[in-house]
Amino acid sequence: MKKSFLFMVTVCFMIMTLLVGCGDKQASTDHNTPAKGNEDSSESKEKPVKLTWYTIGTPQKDSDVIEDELNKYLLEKINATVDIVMFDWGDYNEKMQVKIGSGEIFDIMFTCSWANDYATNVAKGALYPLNDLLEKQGIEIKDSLHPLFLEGAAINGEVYALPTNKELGWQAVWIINKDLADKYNMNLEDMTTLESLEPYLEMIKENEPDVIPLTLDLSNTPYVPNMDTFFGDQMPLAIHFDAPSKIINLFETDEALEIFKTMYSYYNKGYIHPDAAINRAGDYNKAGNFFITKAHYQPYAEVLWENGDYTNTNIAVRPIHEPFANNSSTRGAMQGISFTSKHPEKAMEFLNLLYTDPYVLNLIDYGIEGTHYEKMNDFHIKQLPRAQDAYLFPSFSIGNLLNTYAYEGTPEDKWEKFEEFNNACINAPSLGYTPDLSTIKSEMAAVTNVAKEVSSSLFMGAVDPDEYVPKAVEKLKSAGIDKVITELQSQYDAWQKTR
Amino acid sequence: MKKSNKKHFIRKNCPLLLMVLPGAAWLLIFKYLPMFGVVIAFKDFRYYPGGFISSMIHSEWVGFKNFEFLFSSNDAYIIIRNTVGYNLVFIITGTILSVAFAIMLNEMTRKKLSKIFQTSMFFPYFLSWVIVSYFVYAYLSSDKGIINQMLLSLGMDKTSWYTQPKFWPMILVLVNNWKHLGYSTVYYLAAICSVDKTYYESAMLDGATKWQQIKYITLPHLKPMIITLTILSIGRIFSADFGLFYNVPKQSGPLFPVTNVIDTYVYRALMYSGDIGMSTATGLFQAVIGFLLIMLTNYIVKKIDKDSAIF
Repeated sequence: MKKSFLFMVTVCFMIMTLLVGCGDKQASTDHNTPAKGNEDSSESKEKPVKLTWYTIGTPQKDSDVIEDELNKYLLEKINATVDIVMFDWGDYNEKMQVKIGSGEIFDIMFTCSWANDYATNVAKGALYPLNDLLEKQGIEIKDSLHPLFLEGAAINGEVYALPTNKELGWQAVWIINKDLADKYNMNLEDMTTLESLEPYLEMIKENEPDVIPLTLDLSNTPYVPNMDTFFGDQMPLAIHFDAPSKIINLFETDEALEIFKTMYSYYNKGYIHPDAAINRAGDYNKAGNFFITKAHYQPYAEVLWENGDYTNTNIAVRPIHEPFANNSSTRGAMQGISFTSKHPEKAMEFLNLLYTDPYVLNLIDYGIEGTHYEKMNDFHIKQLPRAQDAYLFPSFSIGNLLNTYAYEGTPEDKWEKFEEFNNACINAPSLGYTPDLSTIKSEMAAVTNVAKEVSSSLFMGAVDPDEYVPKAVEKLKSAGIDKVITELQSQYDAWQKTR
Repeated sequence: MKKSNKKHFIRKNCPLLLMVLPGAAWLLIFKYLPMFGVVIAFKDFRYYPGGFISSMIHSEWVGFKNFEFLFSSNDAYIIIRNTVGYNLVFIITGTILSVAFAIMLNEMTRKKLSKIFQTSMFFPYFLSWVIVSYFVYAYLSSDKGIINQMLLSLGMDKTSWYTQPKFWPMILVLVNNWKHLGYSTVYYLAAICSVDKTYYESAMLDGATKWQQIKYITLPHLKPMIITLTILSIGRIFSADFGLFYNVPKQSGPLFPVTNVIDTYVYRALMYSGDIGMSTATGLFQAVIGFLLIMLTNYIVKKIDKDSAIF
């Protein structure tokens, strides 16, 4: 009796599995049809290629409308259509891991240093190498991009994704509440380093009890001068700008110690929020209950900020250091071609249009003229209500910003200023160096955990650095940071030789 | 077994078998079919053309290398101690509290009131840990937290809750029980309801007090349920509730010695590498240990009381 039961259950499962399998197959053949059709009818008119493109941003109601409009144009121009699929900011990473991991056939994807990680994708073989394609279908891209962009994107000499042409480097700036600064007659020119802020913070602390004088938090830590933290702010690995051949432990440097000490004294004097190490300070900034905070700059960012996160105050901006380009700035937003793509050449032709054809770029960025925006002149556009409801696209994620329109009120010379800014950028020593972590996985795992444990309280001044830094260094050492540094150093040396 | 018998069996049980089918199919497709994916734990996973299966086949074998990171670090002791320790405390306090509450709810004479209690106890179960973490923050925030305000009004000093590890074992146990109590109470409440009322009637005739009734009738009836649920939760003793340990302490660094568990450690460890092999290795490790522990517990239970074991 038992046997027959088992038998029946097994049969049921087999039928189910077959059904599931069939469904799958059908779907995938559908997907492939354009590709096959392409080969068959090459003697007559080539059948248009359908490109699938996954990119980041909140899905929009009107994206089908824009897609139809775009495809009419693309059919004539490059005999292809594009299916734009957007995944929301929070979902993008996970969705793409599934898409890539399952080997789905698609053509173009957004990848960068902070979502769907570029270096990891290259290491795992998810991206199609682009050097050859760049020479053929994408030669105009090379002309329109600042050369440091492609240098930063290259891994072992090969480019795997194309950076958006935007601000090239990092520049940390202080954002100062101008209303308060004017009220107390402060001289903004004096505000440069973290230490230089002290007298002003004190003045605010004494006179404005409701204001948090310095709103830094765990995601916005103070800048450590002269350090190229090539692994991101959360990891204590750095290269000193004046000693660019050596990788060091950030926590062992005098520069970092100075910052920790200053923050510790600011914390004790009540200049920063007591829960800064576990909190985000964005709400204080938005409400205007801040005096100074830090952000990364691009030309005329203050115009965007005053209309965005700082609507309740007038702000002034003061640079903390000269802009520099490193991997995370040049890899801030990129579009790559999937290794599963059946039409990498067509995909490249389309990407080429994003850099060279303002019509295509502005259509995707701002929608349809007359429906989503109105042109005021050659440069300025006015957003129509429909756009707010149904079509907003993150323009920084694609193409060539220098070819896009700007909203009314933007200074005319915005893009010239971008070019100036980019030309002023110096290379960080690590620009273009991509660590290969395959031999130090265990150590990296341990070091990452220790770094998470110690860095936020040190950077937010919650603990006494004289006592805590040696402990942190000791912990990092026992987690194996020395082995990490030795390995990265030998890779770094080898990489420097190839340049 | 004769053929006619077989036919008869199928015909007789057809509706039951059909009822099993969806659940069994779900189990097979989502629990058994993906199981061969555990080989990834022994591979250096890379993408190859032809989809997931082909990537899996072509990736290189690396033996137990993916497991190393779990044990090589100095934190290995701390995270395993925290994971197992908290889970043990959760199992013990959770069982005691939910049995106690189930009995109390059952003994309430005003059924409407008991329903209200039951529902309000159930409510936190549906909240996500992110939201719970803000509830906790409302109590513990340094400047505006309810507890610090209370301390101030009593003339005491404020405490920086998120930097003091010593309070957190208690806070975590409290919060976890608050969230899960309502749910686990329902199990026991259902079990109590199924106890034959005549037991209590005859006990009352014999002059048994309420306490004696609970001790000699209710608790023995609950015993199989307690044992089954405990064995099952021991199977998950190496897997921590990620949401609780990640969100509620707000990732505060100084608290790591008492809040870092296997799941949060792995999450942080793989943020940079995103290594599928290493995360699969962790999952496999947790599952294998859990399986062994279930077998062991069940074996011990069987030795003591044969009828109470699950298999």
